[in-house]
Amino acid sequence: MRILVIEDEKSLAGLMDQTLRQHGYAAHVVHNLADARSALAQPFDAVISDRRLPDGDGLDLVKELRAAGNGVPILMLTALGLPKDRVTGLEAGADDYLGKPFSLFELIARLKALLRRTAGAKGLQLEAGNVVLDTLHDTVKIGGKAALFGKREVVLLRHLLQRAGEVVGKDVLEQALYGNSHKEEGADSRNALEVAVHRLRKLLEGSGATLEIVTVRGVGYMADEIKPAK
Amino acid sequence: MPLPHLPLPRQLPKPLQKLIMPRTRAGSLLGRLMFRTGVLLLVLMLTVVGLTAWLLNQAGDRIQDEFLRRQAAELVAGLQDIPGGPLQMRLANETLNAYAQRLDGYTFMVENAEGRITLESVPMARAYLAPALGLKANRPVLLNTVARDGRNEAMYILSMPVNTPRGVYYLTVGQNRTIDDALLGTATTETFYSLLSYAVPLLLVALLLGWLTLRSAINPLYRLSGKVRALDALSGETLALENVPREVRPLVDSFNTLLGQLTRTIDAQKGLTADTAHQLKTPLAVLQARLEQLDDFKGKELLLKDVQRMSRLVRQLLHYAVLSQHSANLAVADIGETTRTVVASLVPLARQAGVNLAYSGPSTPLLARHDAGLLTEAISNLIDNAIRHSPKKGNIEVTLESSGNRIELTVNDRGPGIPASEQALVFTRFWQGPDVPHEGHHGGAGLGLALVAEVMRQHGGQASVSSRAGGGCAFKLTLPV
Repeated sequence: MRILVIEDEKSLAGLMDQTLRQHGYAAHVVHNLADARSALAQPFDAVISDRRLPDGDGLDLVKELRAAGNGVPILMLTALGLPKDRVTGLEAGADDYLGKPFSLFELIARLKALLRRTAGAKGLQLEAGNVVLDTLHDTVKIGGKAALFGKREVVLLRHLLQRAGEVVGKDVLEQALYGNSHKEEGADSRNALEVAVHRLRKLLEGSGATLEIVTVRGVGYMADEIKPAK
Repeated sequence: MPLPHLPLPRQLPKPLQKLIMPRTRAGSLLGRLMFRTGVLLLVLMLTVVGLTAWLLNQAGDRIQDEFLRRQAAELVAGLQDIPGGPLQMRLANETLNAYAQRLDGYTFMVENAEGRITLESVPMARAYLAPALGLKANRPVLLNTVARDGRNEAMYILSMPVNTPRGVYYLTVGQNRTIDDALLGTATTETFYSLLSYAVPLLLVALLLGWLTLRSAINPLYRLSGKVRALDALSGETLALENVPREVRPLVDSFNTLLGQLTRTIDAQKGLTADTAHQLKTPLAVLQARLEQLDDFKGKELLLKDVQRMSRLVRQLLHYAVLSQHSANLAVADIGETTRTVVASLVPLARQAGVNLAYSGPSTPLLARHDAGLLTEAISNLIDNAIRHSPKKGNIEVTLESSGNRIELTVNDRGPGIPASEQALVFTRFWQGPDVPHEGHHGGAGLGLALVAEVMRQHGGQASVSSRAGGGCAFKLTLPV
């Protein structure tokens, strides 16, 4: 996968380049907006961009790309890490926002999540642990073997996998499962979600999946890889 | 060597010095004005009373002098200078009688150019008119004998030259101080004392009115100081010049200038803090990235933790500086949504630390005016704190409740808790818990809770902490609806 990195701090850019290559990405590093614009003549799978660049604001590039109909996933990377900067960045069309200083592991994790989300939207494969979901055919494979899932469980799994490692709100899941009608049903639908999650858990456990569904009481659910105990 | 304040000589009596020299301590402005006005009024009144008495006295003297002049004119008219004969005085009978009997002390004498007495109203009239003897005044002269003879024997005397064809004569006429005169003197004295007796209450009334007037004149100063008290140095507002007396305007102007300098200094200071924190972020990111790229070695984890702790401090420093520079952007929104989003975003961190994070709040939207970005910052600081202080498998419960006109958001943990004596201090900058371990496991930066307090201040709410039954503490954010 080809990733464009726009970062004027050369030592940091070098370290990011190195890390991305270690994780199997082909990084192309530029240090200013002008070089970034010419590089973007070629397609990229994702863009990681700083904001304060020698020849302007990285956010302007985001706006240009979105105005031109370019939907490439963009991760903003910046020292302007205030809550309101985050909101401004997301409103301008960036897909995620990571404040400096950051951990390279977090950068990779965010990039993976970003690619996973856009991949899911494009109808590709979603993957976490040993669970693979083909969003085009709604089929699930666990540890390479096909597993038989009901339609609701697949929808639930897709939404959880698109944001694996993050909490997905109950309202989002209910909306996905039952549409707007769930609001009128009240307590029943909340129960229905719990039942669906319970069933999904059973299926995952029964198939030896290294993925668990974590309940975050009062908020929602999170799909998380089960890491082997050290 | 310090310059002397005033060139006043040292030998001035102490009370006078006190009166004239401005005291070094300001004292009361009203008191000083009153004192000086009082002294001024007193001096003015005494002057008026004294002047009146003196003028009355003068008037009495002038009446007497005028009387003498008329007397003299009558005598001059009565002088008969018959050629070849002696100089004679022809007067109406009763006038002659009066002179002959010295009625009211009327006396006259006429001297010739050689100083010989040619006419006298009574024999030895000269004894009464002694001061004029041989005077030979070439114009009318008034003489008074009070000094020599005592008050009751005193005489008013007028001596003047009279030109006749035979030559110059000198006419002197005199009169004893009369009863009328004494009466006039008494009246003058009485008038003086009665004026004084009016003056004292008048002075008191004047002082009272003066006090009232001065006090109301000083009122704008009190109003002004009230306005100054209400000023917020950080808001950049200044004192309005409306309704400020002209004399005080320069003071208000200077004050506003000073206020402007203060605001600029504070802003510059915060700007410097924000810039510094901002500039530190990139090198810290490089440092962290380099460390992460290194092969595992002993102490790498601790070094990474140190860098992360420093990063957190720098981030909080930046947020704190920016936050105290700008005011919150309050809008009505579902505070439950804001809270759930924060909780959700911190679940991965909680799981990493082996801590269980849960939320409970109303199922319907809870609308409240808040700045979602700032409140997110505050709540995540509290949860982050709770995670770092929780034991493994500990529970953190975030609750949201609406009670009356307030909304209460609480973060409960089962950490070591905070002693009651320290609870009032936790929201101050760089407060460190009493149990900070050496290796920085908790690793608080010391600004997180100060940031929380600042966010709450901007929301018109407050942050507090209390101990929980069974251990741990509860951080509560209270917001007005």
